[in-house]
Amino acid sequence: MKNALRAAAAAAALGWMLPAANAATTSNNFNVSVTLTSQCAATNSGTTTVSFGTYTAFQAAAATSTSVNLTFQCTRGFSPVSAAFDTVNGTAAGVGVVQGLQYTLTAAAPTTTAGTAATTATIGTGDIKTYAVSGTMPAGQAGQCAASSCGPTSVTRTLIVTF
Amino acid sequence: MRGLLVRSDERHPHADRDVLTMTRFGSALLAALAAASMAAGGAWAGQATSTFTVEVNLQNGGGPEPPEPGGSAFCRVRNMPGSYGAVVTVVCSTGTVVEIGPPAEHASWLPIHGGSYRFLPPVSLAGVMSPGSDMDTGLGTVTSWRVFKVADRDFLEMTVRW
Repeated sequence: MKNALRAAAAAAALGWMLPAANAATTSNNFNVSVTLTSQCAATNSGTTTVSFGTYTAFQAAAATSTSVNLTFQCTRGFSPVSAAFDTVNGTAAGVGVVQGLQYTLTAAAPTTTAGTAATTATIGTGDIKTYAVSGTMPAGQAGQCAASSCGPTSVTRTLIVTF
Repeated sequence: MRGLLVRSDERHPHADRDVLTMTRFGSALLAALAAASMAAGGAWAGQATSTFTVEVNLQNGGGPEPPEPGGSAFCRVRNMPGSYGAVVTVVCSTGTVVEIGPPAEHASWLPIHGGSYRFLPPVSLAGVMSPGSDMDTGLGTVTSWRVFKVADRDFLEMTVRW
């Protein structure tokens, strides 16, 4: 009798331990959907000064500035359609005045550094669009300065990228 | 939009013939909306801005550039009529137009860079400068001078620049 009870208990325990042996699977499909709005955002680092150095009044040669690289991080595969300068401290074409001296800025066509694609492990990175901005200052200008020299004087300009 | 139009037609039991027509209409409408959007300057467009500075150091003189022929490293005379009492405009790199004349209220003039001043002290017949008129003093370089007589009085005219 005691052995019969033990056998029954063992059989019951085995039944509890192996419930999956008879389980079935089923699936239910669904979609993951998103609408991506492409964007670009400024990601400058380092110096952002377009410097003309020292300009001597009425100098015979035009002055050229240093060049700065303005960077924007954009959605991968997406490109801005245009770039222009602000009209607050100059014209959209890049003309402006600093210390009574007229200058003209130019922005070269952007170069692209491809970003990395997103994976199940990483979110990836965007494409980097780099605009090289430099300027020229015509010769023979008087400038505006009440002392023997003035400066360095700076004005703030903005590159506006439209996408 | 094209998908929405197709589903709308599918819900209509007798619209099979119209599916293609509506699809074409949807495509045409989509193209028209896109064209209108572009013509309107891209109302959907976004902008990103990047700020930078433009810098210059202006030097009025003493730089590596030699003075221009017939002029000065600092100032240029725009018109020189040559008659006494005429107005001569001198444009300087200071950005200010320098007036050649006595200072206001006969105070001592300040040696501002790029300035110019015309002395006109009257001289008596004995060769003594008369006080009380244009007797102000200051530092500078005499660039021209002359003696002339007006109303029986001699005047020593000096133009001083600095």
